[in-house]
Amino acid sequence: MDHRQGRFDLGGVVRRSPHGIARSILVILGCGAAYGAALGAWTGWRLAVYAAVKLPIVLLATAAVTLVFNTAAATVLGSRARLHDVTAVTLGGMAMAALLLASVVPVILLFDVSLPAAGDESRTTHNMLYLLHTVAVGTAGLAGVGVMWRALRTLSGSRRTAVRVLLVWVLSLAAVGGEVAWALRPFVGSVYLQVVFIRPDALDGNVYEFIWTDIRPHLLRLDGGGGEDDARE
Amino acid sequence: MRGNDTDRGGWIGRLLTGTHHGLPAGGVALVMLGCLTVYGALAGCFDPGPQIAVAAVKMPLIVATAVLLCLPSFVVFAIVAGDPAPPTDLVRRLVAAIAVAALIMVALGPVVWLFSVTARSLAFVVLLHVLIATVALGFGVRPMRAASGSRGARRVALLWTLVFLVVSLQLTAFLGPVLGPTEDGRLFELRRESFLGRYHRVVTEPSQPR
Repeated sequence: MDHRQGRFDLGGVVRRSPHGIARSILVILGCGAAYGAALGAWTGWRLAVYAAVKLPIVLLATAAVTLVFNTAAATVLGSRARLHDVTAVTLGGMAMAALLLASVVPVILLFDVSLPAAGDESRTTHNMLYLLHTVAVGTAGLAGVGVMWRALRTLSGSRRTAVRVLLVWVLSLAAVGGEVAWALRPFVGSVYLQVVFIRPDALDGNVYEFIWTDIRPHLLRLDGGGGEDDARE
Repeated sequence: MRGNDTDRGGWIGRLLTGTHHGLPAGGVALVMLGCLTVYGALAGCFDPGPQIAVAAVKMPLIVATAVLLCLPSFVVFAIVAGDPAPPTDLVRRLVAAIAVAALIMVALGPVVWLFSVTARSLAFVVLLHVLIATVALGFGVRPMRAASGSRGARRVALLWTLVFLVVSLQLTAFLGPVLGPTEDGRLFELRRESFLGRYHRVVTEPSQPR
């Protein structure tokens, strides 16, 4: 790893130069598009193209929306991170996650072509694929957080500060990323709804309202109905 | 090179002991494919006749496809986990690991043949093959994990092994059946079904006397 580490200046994993940031953006665009295509491929080529466009947007928009807050929070918590550092670290983490996701694209495509085709009878397959993607994205996200952690250790004076900053960053990225992805759905597609680039109700309500009003009652068995959850993806 | 081969039983000994550095990847891949062909033929004895040849073709095809599909993730996972080896060495390491697994499977060949010709239940032989493949893969990835270096890299290698196993099982469902003929007589059924559903169906269906 030594021969590679020499080129990085934040924890041996992130470059804060404009060139380094540009490279992270390129990785996010390329690898994010590849995984996005695999996400939508089960439903059909049209959603594959849509998701290939939308997934890099989700990642870059999430980084852009959280950037100012994450810089301010890091400063308040005692880190030396400045705006260009936060940009480099956030995009570096996302690039790592996108790279890992792209590496499993052949595996995802196998499942896309070998599982039962999308249709009214394939709700179980839809849910299985959803679980598969959740595990893949979650694991890649953890690797991205690992990159951010190593870079933050360099930028923060103490381990305690680095932990606090990382916690705030992860929370803000998860909260914003969840909503951006919700607004730009569908990615895997729905077994009930037509394929569209963005749903007409994209900005009508948010993911947290949906969790509160639809998923929570279902989990608490306050509502005997089911099936709507899939339709909303 | 030939002189070194005799140290620990030649290529096979070097593969099994994890001292395969310097062996050509192409040769190791051929050993892997050869072993899987033999294993497939032995597994095909469950349905004697043309199925022996079909299984001998399908078994290496399934594993080789799984290796190709999982190769990018193996290389990326290893580099991300901090493995210092260059990608070409990682590919060699992967091929060697699967070759070791194939050798273990062939070593169990007499057992496989015995059960294949005597068993009447498809569920039994399917479970036997899944068990043998899992155990063999466990042996195969041991030297690979040891060569990974750090504890984090070894954990990542374990995670990748699980991915490889799941991909292999899904391929057996997609490119199968291996142990019996397809319903329509074609070589590949290419039925769109999850391996969980297929294996559940095989295990729960009543046994058919052969």
